[in-house]
Amino acid sequence: MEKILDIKDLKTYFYIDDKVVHAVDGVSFSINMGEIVSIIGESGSGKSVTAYSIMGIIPKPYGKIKSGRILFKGEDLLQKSEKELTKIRGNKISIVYQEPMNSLNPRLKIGYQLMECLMIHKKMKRKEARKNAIEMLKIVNIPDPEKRYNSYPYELSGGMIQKVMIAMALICKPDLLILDEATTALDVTTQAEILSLVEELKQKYNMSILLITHDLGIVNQIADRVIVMYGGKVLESLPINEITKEVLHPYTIGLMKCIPKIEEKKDVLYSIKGYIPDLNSRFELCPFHERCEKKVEICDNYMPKLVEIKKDHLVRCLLYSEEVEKNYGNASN
Amino acid sequence: MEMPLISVKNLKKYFNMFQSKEMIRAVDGISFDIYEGETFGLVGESGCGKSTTGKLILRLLNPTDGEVLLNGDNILKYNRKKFRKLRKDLQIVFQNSSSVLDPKMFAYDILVEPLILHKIVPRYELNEEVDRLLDMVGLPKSSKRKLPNEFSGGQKQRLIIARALATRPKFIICDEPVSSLDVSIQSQILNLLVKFQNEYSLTYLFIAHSLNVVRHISNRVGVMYLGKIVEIGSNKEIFKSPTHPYTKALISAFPNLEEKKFNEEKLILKGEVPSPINIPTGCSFHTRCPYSYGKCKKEEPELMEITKGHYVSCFLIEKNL
Repeated sequence: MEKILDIKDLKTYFYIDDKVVHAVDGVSFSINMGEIVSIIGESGSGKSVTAYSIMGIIPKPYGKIKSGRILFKGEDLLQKSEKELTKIRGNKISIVYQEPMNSLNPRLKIGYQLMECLMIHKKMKRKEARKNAIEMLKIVNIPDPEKRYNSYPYELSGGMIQKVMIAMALICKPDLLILDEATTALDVTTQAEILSLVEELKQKYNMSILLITHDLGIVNQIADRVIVMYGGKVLESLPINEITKEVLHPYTIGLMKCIPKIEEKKDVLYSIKGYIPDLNSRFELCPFHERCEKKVEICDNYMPKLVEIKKDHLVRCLLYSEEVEKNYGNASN
Repeated sequence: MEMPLISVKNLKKYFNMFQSKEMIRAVDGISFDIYEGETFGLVGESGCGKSTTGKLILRLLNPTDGEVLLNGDNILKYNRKKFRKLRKDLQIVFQNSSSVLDPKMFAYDILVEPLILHKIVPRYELNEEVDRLLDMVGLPKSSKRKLPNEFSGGQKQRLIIARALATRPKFIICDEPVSSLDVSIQSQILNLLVKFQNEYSLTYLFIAHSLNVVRHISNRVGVMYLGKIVEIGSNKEIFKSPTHPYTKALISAFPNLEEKKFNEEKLILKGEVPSPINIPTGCSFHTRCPYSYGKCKKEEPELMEITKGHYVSCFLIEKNL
């Protein structure tokens, strides 16, 4: 299948005072055409920074993309000039942020903000753009679109604004849509409505979606493939139908067990010991080794590689690397 | 029958609006009982009045109307002095945020303040007591000399819980205690809350919007919609056999791990929660309810007991009977 996005060994670091924060440290993955890929991980695992790197909106001068390649339809986004990127951002790749309330300009009418994209990217005339904007509001199920076109962001509820944001992201018919925790701040009922809308629109426009979230439930419902990130590294990458049956990495297993299930009730929940590590020091070792239950001796001085266990299922853990099986097997004997 | 520890009767809170005669009906006549040693969960979408209810019980807000009975005594009638003595029995754990902890107070001072105010331990034991509290919630003793901003989200939440436990309360309101935490930390905090409930026989009012958390921790659950309780029942009744259409929609909208993809059976609600300023006439849910019929628009359903302890306010029950 054709790859729409191919990220290779991306490293994004932040330089704050004399410290270096290794937010994204050697991430590689790809997204196929028409696929929904989801990145999950706890806060501080580098999910959002990955998305910002794709969009080229890493805050400067603190943030810097150290190395790596981001191939979008075969072209490296990191080699492009700001001018060329502007033509891609919002047009070919668009993003919906976590906090909808803060991402719209409070002093401009919603309609104008929608129209702006079309006038800049598609060189449309005002009248035509207005017609298209109203059409788009209708598509995302906003009641009374003509009236809402003239509303200011503060007049709408959180769910409605998120729909406007989705409309704005889709108005130029992008090839890749990035949803950065787009439903986290919303209620479950609104969340369900937005997710089904996204899925419907994906079919309609044949888009690819990169879904960033920390909610495994959402992932299970709409994603095709899951990438688990922790401490700026990819720990596991697996197809969705294996998530309930065949997760391999101890972190992913722990994460699955942590979530209280709605179907059954337990007295004590499983919990992963310790806290999320500080990203100041670069991980020469497995980022999870301090909290890992299945830690073995070698974990203290070895960085596992991301290896393919079976088709489309990659794991970064000593337990599954052949090398260790050999070494550790010998050691224990 | 056993006397409830907390009994809320027809509690109402209307907020005035600026330069307008309209009222925001945040909490509109709710009644429920909480028995000793149980966890009562309160769920609903944002803006349905869950947190306001919590604040009203602790009198952090003054109710417009209604009664809150603690062991049969109306605590809303207490004067300031008398209520202050009671405060140590009733505590609250807020949603984790830096605004709950004074940024200029050391962890030690945060924990010592309630101990001194309520004269829990003599002064020469303060230091030991703080150590004990920190140890209880799993924080190192060295954190005494730290400011709130030096703690991570989960650690802050532990500190807030320690502060609530300092006065040895009987009843704690947990207002979204885990909603801003990561799942791995969330489960740690939930386990902590359950542990303390068993050790000190605490009673919780657990307010949250994530259903799986409420399902995990509660014995009984109340579902709120627009300032009213639409369904109350035991944990099992609410989650296994939800009766009110809103409860059904909430549960089916919750993204869970067991079920795959959105299917046809899922009840996805269209539209927005109506504004609490002009609540629809009749059943407040009728604008979004897929089963609503003529009567729903005109009359308001009462909470009816369908099985013992399971109350629902919906006309569909009548129809089926």
